[in-house]
Amino acid sequence: MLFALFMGCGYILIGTIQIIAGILQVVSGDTGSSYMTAVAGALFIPPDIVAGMILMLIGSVFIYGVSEIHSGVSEGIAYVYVGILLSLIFAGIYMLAATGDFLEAHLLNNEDYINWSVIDALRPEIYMGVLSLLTYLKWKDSFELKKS
Amino acid sequence: MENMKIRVALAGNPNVGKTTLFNAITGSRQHVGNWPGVTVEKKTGIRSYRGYHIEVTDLPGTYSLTAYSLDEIVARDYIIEEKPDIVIQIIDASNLERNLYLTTQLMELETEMIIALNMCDLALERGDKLYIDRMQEILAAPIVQTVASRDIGINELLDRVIEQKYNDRYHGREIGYGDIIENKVLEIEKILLTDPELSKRYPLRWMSIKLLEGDRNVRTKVGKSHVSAAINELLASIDQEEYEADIADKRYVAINAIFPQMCTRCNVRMTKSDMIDRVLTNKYLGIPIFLALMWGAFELTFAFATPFTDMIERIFVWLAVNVTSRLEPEWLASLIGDGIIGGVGAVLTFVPNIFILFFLLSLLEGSGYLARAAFIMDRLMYKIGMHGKSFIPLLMGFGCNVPAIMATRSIEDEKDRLITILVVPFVSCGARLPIYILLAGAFFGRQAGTVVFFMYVLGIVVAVISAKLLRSTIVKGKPAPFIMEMPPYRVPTLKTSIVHMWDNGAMYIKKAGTLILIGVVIIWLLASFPWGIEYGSEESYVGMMGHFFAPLLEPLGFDWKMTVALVFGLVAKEIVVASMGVLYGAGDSPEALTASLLADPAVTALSALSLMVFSLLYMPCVATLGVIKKETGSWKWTAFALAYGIAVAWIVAFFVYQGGKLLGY
Repeated sequence: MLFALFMGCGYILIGTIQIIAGILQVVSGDTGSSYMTAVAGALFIPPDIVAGMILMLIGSVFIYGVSEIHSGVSEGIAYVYVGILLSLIFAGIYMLAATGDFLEAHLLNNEDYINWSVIDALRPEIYMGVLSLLTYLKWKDSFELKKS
Repeated sequence: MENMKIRVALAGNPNVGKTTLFNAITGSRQHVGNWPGVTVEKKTGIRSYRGYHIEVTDLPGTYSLTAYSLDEIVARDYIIEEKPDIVIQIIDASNLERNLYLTTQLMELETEMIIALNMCDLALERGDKLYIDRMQEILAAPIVQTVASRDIGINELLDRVIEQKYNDRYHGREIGYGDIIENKVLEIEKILLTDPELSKRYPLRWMSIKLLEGDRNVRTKVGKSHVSAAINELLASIDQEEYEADIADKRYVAINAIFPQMCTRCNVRMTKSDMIDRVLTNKYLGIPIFLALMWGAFELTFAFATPFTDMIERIFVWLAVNVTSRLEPEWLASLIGDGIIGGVGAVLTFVPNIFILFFLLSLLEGSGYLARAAFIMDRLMYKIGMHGKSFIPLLMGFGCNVPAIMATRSIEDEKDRLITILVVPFVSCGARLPIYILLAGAFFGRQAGTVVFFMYVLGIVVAVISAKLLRSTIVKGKPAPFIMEMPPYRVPTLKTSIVHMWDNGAMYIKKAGTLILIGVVIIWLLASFPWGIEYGSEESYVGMMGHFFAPLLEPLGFDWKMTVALVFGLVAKEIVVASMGVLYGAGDSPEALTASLLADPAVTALSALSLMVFSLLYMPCVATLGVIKKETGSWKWTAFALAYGIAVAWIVAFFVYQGGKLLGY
């Protein structure tokens, strides 16, 4: 339950930062000078409204699970399981997108990707997904549940 | 052993793995057509096994054999009229109880039956204990355990088919319906026996039971006989609705009695499938998760495919440069370089995007998730006057609108079906994807994936609003209740997903080599004449055509070139990109189409967005119109679909463009 609470809060917080940074970029053309976008940059959070909403959604799934487990509904573990699945799915999506960028930079020598490096591809969906994977591998037996 | 023929029919509920089993038995030796006289797909295949020639027919998936839907009538008529040697009922072992209702009805058809107990792995995972010997005894039919998706049990099943055909005699079981009903059955059988042709052709007990249930299809069969008057008199003396309900009740009583003898749930565990379902069908989280997954699919389609599309684009640019500089005479160099390579190349550039999207959609379908999507959307669909089952054709429309419209055959209510047919063309198909990727990629940078996603969402929104409008005006009524069984989640097999991806993607490449090739040659001719004018200029025939139609589309932000592309796009949506490839790629410079678009001052981000919206919504392609005519049987509705699509496209694109200009874009 602690893991789900940590992941849920983490996803919601990061998603919020990402949305705010995205809004700032769209509205004021801010490219990093404000405090919020500086925080976002430090955590490798690219400004992106839709991606931020998806992070918040994943966080909501975890928190829903926490709420059910806390109320004594053991099936709430299902939300933690699906939260992990969703985080892995989106981590996979962005890792494949990073692969595309890598090919553009190093195979096709696309001039738009001259200064691209692997660090540019790092984003919360990926590192939070890795954390989910490690947790799942350690505690996967706890997802076996008898129906009440 | 000489080749001997065995005719086998596959019956079963939807989503039990019938098609997977059919594919496992027949491999690539299949033929798809229509059942005679009806718009229901018929699949037949052949397997040579141990010297036997086994012809397999895949019957439509049905929950019962009543006469409420075409699928049911087709399935049972095939068994009664064609009398296959063996009927294999595929039962989902993890949903045994629900599948037994069809079993009770198949037994009454007095046909040689084998039961393929499929998805045994899921039942075992759940902790179910299956008593196969007892099952065989109770159902009086051989049972073979299969896992069709992994080709397990297929040979054993075929061995049993051969054994059953040549060594066994039929010895079926009957459900007892109680004294009152059984007495009536006997009375009807006695009357039917006086018509030797009827009694020879159809199982009498089955016919009697169906008449008591008020089956209209069976009444019609009897109607041609001299016994029909006596039958009508007998049926007029009873309350048929009550008999129908009683018969169904008795079937369930029998199932409740036999089921515990066949299966016990020893260890009631929440499987991973149950856990996933608990979340994905949650009333608050279900729809947002669905939207997130669809967005992820489009984001990946764009982001991962980009380097591959760039590679293909470079190849075509290199080809165009080298062809134009080396070929003689000049007109031939222009035809091949500017026309064919420029046009067809522009379409083929997006092959990676098409294949990736189809692969992802087939993963979602193969995993069982899309069935949940229909269930999740049903509540919303019902509120706006659409049937929940309508969402499946809408989802299929993401691939191609033609099979999506054909999929509406599973919707029983005719009004629901008509509405779905009319709104499916608004769903963005694979052919429109190159238009979005070209324009979104050129004008929206990193947000391109999101823009493409919103095009798909817009299509669904317009489809849904149109359905509501149609339901409250031209096609009035209430949607029928939605009952649907959800298949268990499975890890989709790579092989099936790749086959599915290839089947759909190959259609796209084939179109490029045929219809689009013809289209670009015609556009090149129109762009090259009258003789002596600059290729693709406003003075060419294509320029004149563009200027003729341009006033209609100028309020939407389109110049004459975009107008020409849209006119030719009436044939097939891919031709929009091909036309732009011919018209914008024109000139001596080997610039890619994207760069040409960016360099043209008439094309802005706002006009590109408006063009995407118009392409999404305006008339369906010729192939889709053709299937609308076939499925509705009406020129009136086909003309309506055409006119309505153009009108909606114009209005929405107008609001997008003019609204954007008002906001300062």
